[in-house]
Amino acid sequence: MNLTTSTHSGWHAIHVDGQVDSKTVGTLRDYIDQDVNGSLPVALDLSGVPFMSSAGLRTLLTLHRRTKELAVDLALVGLSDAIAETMRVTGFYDYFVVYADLQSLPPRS
Amino acid sequence: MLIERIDALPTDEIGGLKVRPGKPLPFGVSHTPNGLNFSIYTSAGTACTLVLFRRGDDEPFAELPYPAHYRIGDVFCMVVFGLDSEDLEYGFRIDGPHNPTAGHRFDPSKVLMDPYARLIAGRDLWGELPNWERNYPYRARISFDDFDWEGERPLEIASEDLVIYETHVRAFTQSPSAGTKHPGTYAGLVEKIPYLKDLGINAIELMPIYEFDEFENSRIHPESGERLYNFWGYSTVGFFAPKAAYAATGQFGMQVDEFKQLVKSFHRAGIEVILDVVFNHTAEGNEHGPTLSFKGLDNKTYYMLTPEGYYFNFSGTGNTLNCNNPIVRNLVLDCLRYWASEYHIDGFRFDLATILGRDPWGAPLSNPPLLESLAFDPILSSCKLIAEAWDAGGLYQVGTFPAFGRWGEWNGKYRDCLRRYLKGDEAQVGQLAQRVQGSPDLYRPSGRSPATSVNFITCHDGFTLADLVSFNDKHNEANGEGNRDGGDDNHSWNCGAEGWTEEAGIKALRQRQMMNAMVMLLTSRGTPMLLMGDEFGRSQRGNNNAYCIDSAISWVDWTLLESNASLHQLVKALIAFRHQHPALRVNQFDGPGSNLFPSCSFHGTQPWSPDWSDQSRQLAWLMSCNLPEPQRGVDAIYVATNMAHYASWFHFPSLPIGFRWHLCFNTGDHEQPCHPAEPALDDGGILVGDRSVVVLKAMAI
Amino acid sequence: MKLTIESIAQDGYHLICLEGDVDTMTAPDLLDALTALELAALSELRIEMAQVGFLSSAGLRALVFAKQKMPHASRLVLVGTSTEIADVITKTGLTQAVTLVASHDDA
Repeated sequence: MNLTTSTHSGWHAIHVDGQVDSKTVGTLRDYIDQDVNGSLPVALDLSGVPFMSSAGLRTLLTLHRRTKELAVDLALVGLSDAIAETMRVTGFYDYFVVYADLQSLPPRS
Repeated sequence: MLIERIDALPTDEIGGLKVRPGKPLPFGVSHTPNGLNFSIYTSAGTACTLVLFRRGDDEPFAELPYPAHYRIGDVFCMVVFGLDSEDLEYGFRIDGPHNPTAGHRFDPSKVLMDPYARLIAGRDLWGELPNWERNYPYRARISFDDFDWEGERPLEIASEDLVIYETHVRAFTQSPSAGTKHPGTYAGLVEKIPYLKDLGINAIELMPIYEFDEFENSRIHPESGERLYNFWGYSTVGFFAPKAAYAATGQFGMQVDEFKQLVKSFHRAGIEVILDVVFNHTAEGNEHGPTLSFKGLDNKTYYMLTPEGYYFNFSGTGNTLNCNNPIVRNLVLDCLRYWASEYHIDGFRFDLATILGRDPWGAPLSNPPLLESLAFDPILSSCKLIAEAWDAGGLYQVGTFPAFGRWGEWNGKYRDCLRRYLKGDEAQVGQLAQRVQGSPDLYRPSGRSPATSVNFITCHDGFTLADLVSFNDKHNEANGEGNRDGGDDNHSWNCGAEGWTEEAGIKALRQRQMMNAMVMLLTSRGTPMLLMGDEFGRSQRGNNNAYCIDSAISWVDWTLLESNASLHQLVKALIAFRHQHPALRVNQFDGPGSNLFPSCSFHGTQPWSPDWSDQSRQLAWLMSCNLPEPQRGVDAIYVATNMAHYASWFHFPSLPIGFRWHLCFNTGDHEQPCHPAEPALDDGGILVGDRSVVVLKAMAI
Repeated sequence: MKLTIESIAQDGYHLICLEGDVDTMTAPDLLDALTALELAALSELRIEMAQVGFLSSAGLRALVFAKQKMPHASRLVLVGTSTEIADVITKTGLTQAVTLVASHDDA
């Protein structure tokens, strides 16, 4: 799994590429702990993620809690239908604001 | 500053992994700083090995024999460091004597499942033919027990206020007619919450959801070639894990979260979740059955065995769990505590509960320790405990089940009496009077209350309501046993033709009989229970024992919701009516009654003069109580039932000046059985048609 | 046996003339004829029974149904009912709801 970052319409975009499960989730978690610091709202771009395991879903929740602590907005972007449905069914979906793609993000200055 | 604990560090290395001695509690797997604690007990086993697999691999990647000093009493416990808990499957090999006559069946070549497994993998898709050669078919995994309930908690609705709806997870939404995104699953059931909330029920009772094997005793029907399954699930593989194949996310191993989300969703809709739990037997069968867990861990402790080492069979299914053995008792208690605290389950219905009150040699106990423990356990104190108070060994305890003031019962006598009255049998009226009051004849002597009685006319076992009024005889040919299986004492009546008919008169009578049944059930004191789909006339085509059927016969047909809209509307209105009228839910025998009437009185066509003779097919009951503060006034409900083949004029009990009787329901009026406008009746009585029921309420002018 | 039904509005009441047998086959027709009326607004419904040879329980149901729909002060009058049928009506408690008369003059 690869992580890259960019800025998009005033959002701090984290692009995740690859499967997010117990083996790969550490990278994402480390990034959240160290590099999410509250200056910009965070958009987690999951359009490159074919599958998220239970551990992956929990890391999303960790990110949600961290951004709440920092009082910045969090958006999930590019969730596949399958992942979105899995999240709905296991109760993880309602915590998040979800956008179809980066273009749909409301611009932040 | 986070203080580092000493036990965050390993002390030894076994099988290539860092380990240290573990803690015996909790049993099963638990998370420790940096590690996982694996605890398993066996009273007669002499050695234990922890076997570790990567998810899905046939062969283990490590085998760790527990060193001798890693044992406390009968418990082997070890902490293993550096494991990926999401990727892990684990099991145990136990060595010990192999002496079946003495009750020991140890076999270290078998990998056994942890009885405390909270997440079970290996059979994730319903109906997928298993690999019978697999050495370790049901594999324990690690679950996160970290669900965020967001403040949601068990609803603690008073028992007398419950309207229970019995459901089978797969059957409820498997049919395409259900229109769900996730047919046959927990998620599919959640999709039907709006329907259930609209219906007005406030408790759903789920047929077994503990991990079970649908392929247990599976066979091919000799004529049709169709596969028959263990569809209902009354046989447990794992007591702490929800069935993976019932989860839309089962293939990802997310059934724990999915089921907790189900409970959370139902609670948000104001509906309690009650589980049907099966402690009387397991999937391991008798000496010819598979060794999955208990048999290889501690056979003599877990099962009731004959002196020759064979399996006692009080459950009718091969083995009987030894529930009053102290170790098994703890397993049962741990299990229920786990579901109550981790899953926020509101109640448990115990299949064949009488077995729970037998000693290890099968004799009934007068004060069974297990039932007492459950009744007084602090974690379970708000849970409903409901017993099916009979077992296949002939012990029928309805009314005498040791209750300790806590247990409710499926009242089989209510079912039989109401069915017989409905079909017009003679000599039912006296018993009927007891049943509709909550069965004081059964429960008053032991100091229990009406809510003890779970009143039902149909349940998964037997005919559906539509079939109860369409068939005189069972038709279980689809079960492949030559129609020999299933009970014969159905007390059913086909209304003039067996099965399908075009005859309008018979169809109309069947509709009316179903409505009659529902009215009587929902105006009886006690705790009513409905069977899924009865509210729109679900049929199993006359099969009264569909335990093995996975097809349109057993699946709920949702198209009936439209074709039987009028029945559905009546049931919905009756449920709402029951919620609105406390007189129907009084939870006291010999209560004080109201300013107008006694708590419960019986009448015939003349008020205060019921006809108790054997030939009588008519009875009216009047239930009344004062409205609770801050409301003022009186609640009085009069139900006139006429199961004779002729109409009769029922004279009302007179009301004081300032009150009138209002019509609420009349099953005799096929055009309009519900009267939401509740018209006042001034004739001093009402004509109740043949085989019809009328419901009135008293209101101040 | 067939059943002929004539439904005629009269001054002050509605009249239904029956000829034939009211049994399982023909009772639905009677029920239809009754349902077609505005029963809730009728002060009197008269049924000419002199030409009716047989009235089954289905027919009785139809009468019960009609009376339940009519206002409480209304009358359901059966004219010229045979002794056998009158017996059945008495036995089934319907005399609380219907008035039996020999001829229209007694109605």
